[in-house]
Amino acid sequence: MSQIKKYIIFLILVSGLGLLLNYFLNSYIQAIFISFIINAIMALSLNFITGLADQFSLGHAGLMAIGAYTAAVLNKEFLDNNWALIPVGVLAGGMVAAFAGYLISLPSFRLKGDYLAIVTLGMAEIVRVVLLNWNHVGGPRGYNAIMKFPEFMYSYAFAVLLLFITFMTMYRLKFSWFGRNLWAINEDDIAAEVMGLNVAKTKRRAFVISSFFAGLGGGFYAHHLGYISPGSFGFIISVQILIVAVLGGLGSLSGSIVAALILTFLPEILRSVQMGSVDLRMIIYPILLILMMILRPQGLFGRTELNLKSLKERFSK
Amino acid sequence: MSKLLVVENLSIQFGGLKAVDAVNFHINKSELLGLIGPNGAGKTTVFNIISGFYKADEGSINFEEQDITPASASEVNHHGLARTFQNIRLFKNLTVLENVLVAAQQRKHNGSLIDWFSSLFNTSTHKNVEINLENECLELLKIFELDKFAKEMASSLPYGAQRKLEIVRALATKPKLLMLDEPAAGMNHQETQELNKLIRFIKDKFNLTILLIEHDMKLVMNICDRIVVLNRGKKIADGMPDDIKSSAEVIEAYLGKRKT
Amino acid sequence: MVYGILTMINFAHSEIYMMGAFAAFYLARFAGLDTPSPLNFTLGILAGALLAAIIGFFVEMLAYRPLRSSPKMNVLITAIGVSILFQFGGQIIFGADPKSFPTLIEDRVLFTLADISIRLVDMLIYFVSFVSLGILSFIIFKTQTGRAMRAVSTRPDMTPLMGINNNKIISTTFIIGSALAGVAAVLVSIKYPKIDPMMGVKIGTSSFVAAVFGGIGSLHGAVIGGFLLGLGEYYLIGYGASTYKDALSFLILIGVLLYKPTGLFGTTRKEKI
Repeated sequence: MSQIKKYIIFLILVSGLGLLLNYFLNSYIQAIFISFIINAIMALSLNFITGLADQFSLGHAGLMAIGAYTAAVLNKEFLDNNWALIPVGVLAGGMVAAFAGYLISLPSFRLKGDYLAIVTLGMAEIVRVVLLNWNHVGGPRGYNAIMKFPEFMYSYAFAVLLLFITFMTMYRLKFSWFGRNLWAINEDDIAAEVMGLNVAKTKRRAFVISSFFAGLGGGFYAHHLGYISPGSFGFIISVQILIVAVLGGLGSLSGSIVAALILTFLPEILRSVQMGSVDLRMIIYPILLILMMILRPQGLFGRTELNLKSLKERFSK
Repeated sequence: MSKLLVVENLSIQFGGLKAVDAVNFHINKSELLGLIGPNGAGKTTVFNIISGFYKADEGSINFEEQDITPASASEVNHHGLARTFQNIRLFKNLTVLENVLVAAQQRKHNGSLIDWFSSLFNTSTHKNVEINLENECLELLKIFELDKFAKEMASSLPYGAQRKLEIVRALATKPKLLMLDEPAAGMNHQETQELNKLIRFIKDKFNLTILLIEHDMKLVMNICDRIVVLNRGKKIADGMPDDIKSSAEVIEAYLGKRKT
Repeated sequence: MVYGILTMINFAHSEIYMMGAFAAFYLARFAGLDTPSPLNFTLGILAGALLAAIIGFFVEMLAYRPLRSSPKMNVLITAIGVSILFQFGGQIIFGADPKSFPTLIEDRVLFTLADISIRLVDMLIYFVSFVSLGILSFIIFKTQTGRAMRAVSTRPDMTPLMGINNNKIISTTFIIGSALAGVAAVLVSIKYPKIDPMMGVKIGTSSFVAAVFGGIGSLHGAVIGGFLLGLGEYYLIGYGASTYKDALSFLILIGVLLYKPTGLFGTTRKEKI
């Protein structure tokens, strides 16, 4: 099947889904779908650094926050709440987050060990505390009345576009020289260095890319909800993103999307069934995480991508 | 004869122990220099310093008249030095071909903007570069009769082939000086003979200068143009194989003082 | 200590701390120990230590041991899972609102020294801390078990060959570490009697920062690190920037890691190439 044909089929499916959601399903499901896309983008961004580059980051909520606030403030104060310019804000969110990622990566990859986890954790905390104290953007009360897309279809189209860009970029990188470099570093960073590969620089680049997409996700999140506050970007969020990435398989891009689908829709289905006083998800998720690490640490797809051909073969047997 | 590598007054200390103590030696272009000494003499440490993993406390390293003392490991490789490791460090879960590709691609893909652009959009230039790279690596593998294993996992190769692959991988970085750390470790007599032939072969074919750490004396005496002997971090001898063989200090270093 | 030996960040450590406090709380309730007395104080400390140790032992055995040979990241992820499980599980089991820890010993002003009143509780905290650290140092540096612990932390691949049972040693390390956390928990609860399931979180990050700041593998470093960090935080409060207090520990950490990756007194472990 040629590339063009693949893209056309994809376009048709996506449009079909969009029409279905818009005209036949209610706004509740529409909102969940957009949530799923945001979760997928966040999981992909984390997966890129933690799965492919094998660097544990616990601060993606902070990067998301940076993206969110940048996009929201930009749109409200500099772009006159113009919904057509939302993509500009979101892009800006991604760039600012990428810059933050760059700053963090400078010292972090000189250090061996699990330090990145702590540094990113710290970064996210610092971001949260700064936002909490910054009254201009609302402080603890948050930032509200953020512009949203007037129609679901616009939101949907933009969301799908973002996800597409995120996935395709990472996919291309994974299967190119850069992905090979990352893999080599995972296998043996000393051998990689001896081959002329600047390990620290490569890890830094991976982190900046990851931060960019986290920022994009955050920016879109702000315009989806219309309201953001420092509280919505706590450590728990970083953990939730981690769970999605781990479930899909650290290193599998399509895995993150599938896992995001499952973990966004399933709790909604269960919501009617369970009696969560304390959000029972906070009990189920960690148990799920622990069990997965012990029983199936590679998640659903491990490091491999969802392969339609092999699925077809499996079903035709 | 020009000096390719000059090591001057190299010293490094770990805790209270001076692992390398004011070591001086040089390698001439196209020479095969052996670095020998009893266990713990500091040979691998010297390797690690030259290849950029340790920073010496004192001394300097000059390669092709350039000071590479402060260079990091990847920079050292870019200058033209490649090395192998005592315990083989292959990328186990990559294929044989991919192992070599990683090494070869470092010179082609420098991460410039154009590089990123073409990989993201999978342009035809990018595809061509990839195909050429792959062919280059396959050619290299063919020389060593490893091309039939190209798609196999590196870890599935027999020991001797893995050692060969490590050397091939180092060669893919197009070095001028190749440093081999105990390549004959774990090999039997026949395998060592083959290694002997292999080393001579690559030295000629790729126009290399070679620095060799080895414990197998037969191999060393047979193949080296010159030998440097270390003991307890210090250099105790430097000369032709015959001289080294009969040097009293060297014998004493290995066997201990003669009981008179 | 656990980090130094296992080279693993036990995110759940602060939750074990929290559990220690709660365990002592419930025990005190159960045993009716609500009148302040030196005996009750000691019992409280011991109870916290013992129960925390037991919990730590089980956590290690159930959640970490199966992953002993797994890549480091998996263990970290599991630790995070355990940590969150305890936090929210605690909320469900204990209720999310803070409880009042019983006064196990009556606080008195012992004497005043130039405007500063020296209180009994504070003195006791110092005393118990010193004693605990003394015991810990003794164990690590002067006993066979301690030697084994240090050995396992450097070369866990070789220690079984020397007849050391890695599992047992690691469990022991966990037990001791957890017990200490329990002691700390009870001490803190006596001074600040409000306890809740999330109390471990803030302490957890601060204590980890203190440990890294002082240097991995160096006990004295951890103490000094903790001391300096605590001073720093109160300094900030004094300057009215108290909401930045939480971020301070991380800023310090990042700063320290930039200049001295092994902390103030840490020992570098050169990887063998």
